[in-house]
Amino acid sequence: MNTAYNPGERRGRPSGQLGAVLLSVAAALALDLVSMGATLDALRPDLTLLVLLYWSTRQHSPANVWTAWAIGLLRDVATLNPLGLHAGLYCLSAWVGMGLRKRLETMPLPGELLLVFLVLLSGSVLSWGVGLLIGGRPSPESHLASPLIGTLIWPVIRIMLDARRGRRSHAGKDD
Amino acid sequence: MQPVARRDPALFRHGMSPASKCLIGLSLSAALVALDGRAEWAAALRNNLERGIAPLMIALELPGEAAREVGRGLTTHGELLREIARLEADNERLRTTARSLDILQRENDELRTLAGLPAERLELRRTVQLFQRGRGVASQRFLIGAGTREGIREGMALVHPEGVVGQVVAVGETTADVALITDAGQNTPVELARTGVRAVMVGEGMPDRASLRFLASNADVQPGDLLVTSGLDGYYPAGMAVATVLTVERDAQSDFARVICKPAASVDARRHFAVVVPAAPAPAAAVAPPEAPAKPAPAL
Repeated sequence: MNTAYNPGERRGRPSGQLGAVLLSVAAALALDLVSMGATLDALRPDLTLLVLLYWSTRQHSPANVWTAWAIGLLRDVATLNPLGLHAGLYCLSAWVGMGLRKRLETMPLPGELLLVFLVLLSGSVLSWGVGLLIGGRPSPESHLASPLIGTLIWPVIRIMLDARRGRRSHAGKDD
Repeated sequence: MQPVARRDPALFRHGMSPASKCLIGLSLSAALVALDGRAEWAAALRNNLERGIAPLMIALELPGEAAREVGRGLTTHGELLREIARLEADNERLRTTARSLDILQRENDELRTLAGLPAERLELRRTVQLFQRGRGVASQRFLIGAGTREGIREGMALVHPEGVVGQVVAVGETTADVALITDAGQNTPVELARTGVRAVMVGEGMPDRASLRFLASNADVQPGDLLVTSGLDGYYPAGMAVATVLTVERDAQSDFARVICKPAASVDARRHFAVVVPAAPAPAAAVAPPEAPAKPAPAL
């Protein structure tokens, strides 16, 4: 038996999960940054937020409020948004996700989708409000379409990341 | 039940609760949103982070660049010959136009000298490449791959052959943020090419749309009118195409007409832009020294 000290294991965290979180968030952020033209960019969902939400709703996940805040700040810089806009949104979403951990385990898919939609919608409304505050006329349609599309692809993200987590935990058990 | 001596105080056992962390995170975010663009340290933070993630953004550009290169490589010999012929014809036409413009510019300079006005010239600083488009509330902004190191300064105008694109609003060492003329709150002093009436065009944060402010309801403006820069702000060179008037609404209750315009330059498919500045106005004397004023006659 390996008796070496492993803080992640002591708290019940699979030791390789931090790498999986960072890799999936980096991939989502990279996909978010690839431009598809003004019209499609306005409609596409925030993949980074979806992946962060996934990790914050999982038990023993290393993703926390500070990780989410830092990633949000990076996204603000990369997408030229006002500093702190996504940082605040991601931090709030991570906190909501952590609070829903227990409930989501027993919740049926429609309920889960509704919760995801509400989280994405609140982010979109916040972004819309900031757009109005800085003197713009942001279109409400795209701010509603983006959370809807995000909710529709949530099951796909969940299946992909669940599969990755499953592989990780099996690998951990084999060791 | 645990003995009292072994029970840790809750403060040390649990640390900060997620709710407290979230509250601190939200307060920090609100402070950053409020101070971004106002405090120098916020600009420095943005510049440093931008420099840090620049390699990632360059890496993200590579697949698109590679696809474009492959697309170019697939051009046939016949297409290349046709393209060369077209470019040669364009070059001839532009050289002829440039020659007549030179003559006009000289005449203009002479007239300005006679009128005692400073000479006006356009200075092309450099061509820059689009690096990253903004998203969400910053959808009408983009990042260019040139900064103070390349001589880019705040306020410089970006143009391409169709017209004015936008203005540099923040500069880092190797990158700069550009606000398009359609960015929310972006003001561009313009004049109607047909009548010379002056107004201010204001961006609304939406692509392909802006509006005119402070144009009297009885002003002579109609759909299809071309708007050009008036050059009054000293940032945009005068006379460059800005937008075309789409609709004009006149309301008896309002003193001003509601005019919606469509920018002349579309940036969706463009990747390269020219940075221009109106050349520092040379004093009239520098263009051609006027005759020395006659000395007053000595008093007797």
